[in-house]
Amino acid sequence: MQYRVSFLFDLLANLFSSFTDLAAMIIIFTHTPALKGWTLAETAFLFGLTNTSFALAEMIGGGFDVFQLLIREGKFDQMLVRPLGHFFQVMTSEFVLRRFGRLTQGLAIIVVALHQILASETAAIVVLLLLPVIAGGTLFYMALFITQATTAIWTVEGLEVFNIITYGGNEVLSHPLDVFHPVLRRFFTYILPMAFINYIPVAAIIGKPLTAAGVPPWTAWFSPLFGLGAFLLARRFWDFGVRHYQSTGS
Amino acid sequence: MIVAKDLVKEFKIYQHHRGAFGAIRNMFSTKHTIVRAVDQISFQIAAGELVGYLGPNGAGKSTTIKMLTGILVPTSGELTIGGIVPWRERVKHVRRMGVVFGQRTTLWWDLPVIETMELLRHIYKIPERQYRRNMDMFADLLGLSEFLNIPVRSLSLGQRMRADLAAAFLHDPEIVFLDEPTIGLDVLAKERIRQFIATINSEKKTTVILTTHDLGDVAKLCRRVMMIDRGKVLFDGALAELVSRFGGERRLIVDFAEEYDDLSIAGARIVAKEGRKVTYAFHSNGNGVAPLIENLSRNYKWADISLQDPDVETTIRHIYEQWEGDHSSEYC
Ligand SMILES: Nc1ncnc2c1ncn2[C@@H]1O[C@H](COP(=O)(O)OP(=O)(O)OP(=O)(O)O)[C@@H](O)[C@H]1O
Ligand SMILES: [Mg+2]
Repeated sequence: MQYRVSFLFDLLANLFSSFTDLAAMIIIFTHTPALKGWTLAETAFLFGLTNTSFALAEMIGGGFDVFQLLIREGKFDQMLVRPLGHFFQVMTSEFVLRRFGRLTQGLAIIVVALHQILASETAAIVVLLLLPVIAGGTLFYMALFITQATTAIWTVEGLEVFNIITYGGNEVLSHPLDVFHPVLRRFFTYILPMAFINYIPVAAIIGKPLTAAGVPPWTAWFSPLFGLGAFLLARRFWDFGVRHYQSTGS
Repeated sequence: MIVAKDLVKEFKIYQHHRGAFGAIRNMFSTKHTIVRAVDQISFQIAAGELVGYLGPNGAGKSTTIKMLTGILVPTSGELTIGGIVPWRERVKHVRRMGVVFGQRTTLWWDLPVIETMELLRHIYKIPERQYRRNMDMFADLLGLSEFLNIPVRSLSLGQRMRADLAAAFLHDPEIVFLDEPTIGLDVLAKERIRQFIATINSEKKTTVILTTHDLGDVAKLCRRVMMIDRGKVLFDGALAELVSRFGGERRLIVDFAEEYDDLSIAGARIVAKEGRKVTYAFHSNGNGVAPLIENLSRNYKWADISLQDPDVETTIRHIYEQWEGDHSSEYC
């Protein structure tokens, strides 16, 4: 019973916190019909998409969030002496059901925003196109969580600093590339190609010119590919970390 | 079966910065100290052996066990167990291995014991018949049935240790590592666990490597002991040899029939005196105790004599004390 109450409470808190982001967005758009050429509905669409991927990644990879605790309580040692993959064991050690709040919210925003932007016949097709994009985003967020968790092998206290990676990554993904400085735009297209994860597919789907990135629309198909690439890189970093794992003193 | 050659494990300990930017400085700081917990140890252990791995606190026992179980990757040196490098083929290695860390359970905190065993049965793909047979055997030897339905977190220390042992042996591993399996247990519980280890080792020919601070465990179980201090193996051989080599002096306790002023005899020194009861310590360099008793009988009237041979406990205390002395002299 106690668990159920705290679950509900978590769920509400979760819903509310992402709701405030949405509210902030709506307030900005009451003063201007479009920001750098993006309307409220279009910006919300991108926001809903990143939130959906983020929530899915949090649900699937919840264990990485508590990895530091697994090390400290000796539970990671315990996993290492079992004949199962350590990556798999950590990943499944926690299933964060309360993130359901964020997921349903993200999906709701996608549906409402799409309804505003497109005619319903095309919207139905677009939803299918979204699946690989959501998968790409989810893999990318997973990669961020895995990278952050792996650093716990070396540092125990400084871990919060690595929140910069996750939250910075989230900020970049959930805003249209157009709002960033041209130097950053190029950076996120050619050097750390995060624009391909969500921004370029979304712009391609709703027919925005891709001038901010300067790439043709068909590159939208890179989304799942780049997501998978980031995930595999993070996975290798994880294996590298485990080889340097020091365990605890007692 | 186990072959270790020049095995080394070093721990890097990073310095912590405090204050506002401490966390950021920690990330980029390369300042660290290195602790060499295991320092070039080499040994071989054959299948079916039962080896006691001893040494004072901080000697490097648990670190060695963690390398043997594939948790830690050695800094340098070679290690193969049944032809496999533990950390390189971890899953394959742990499938035929069992481990108990006395300080910390390797079981799932919230699961009742019986469900823990069921889960392990699936993880290790144990055939039903083998599972039943072992569970019956453990019910018998460890009294497992008393607490099968209790979650691991609610077990007493002794019960938890018994559950951990059962779990480690459930899949009939070829080799089992026991890091202080009797820590904190009462005399009867210790006895039961020793009996269990001895039985499994002799019936199933399981190789067992055991660390402990309880010398009763050693005396009862181990024919072979390895002693480690500060990361180096200083003795590796039969327990009997350890006692005869390092056991130090034997003791002769004499109850005199009369009062004497001078009780000193050649070849022995007095270590205690209590009324007419005197304890002598002596080295029996091949001659045994006979010359001493002859000497005593010639000069004194005595009522009773008893002889004490050094036991495992005093021997090992003796060795630790010597090492302690060696270390302190290094700092002088
Ligand atoms: N995870 C770790 N990080 C840093 N140093 C460690 C770690 N584990 C062990 N050490 C250090 O390595 C040395 C050996 O420790 P170890 O735990 O192997 O000793 P031990 O022989 O098991 O001692 P005890 O009898 O107290 O259990 C100690 O100096 C300890 O401080
Ligand atoms: Mg130890």
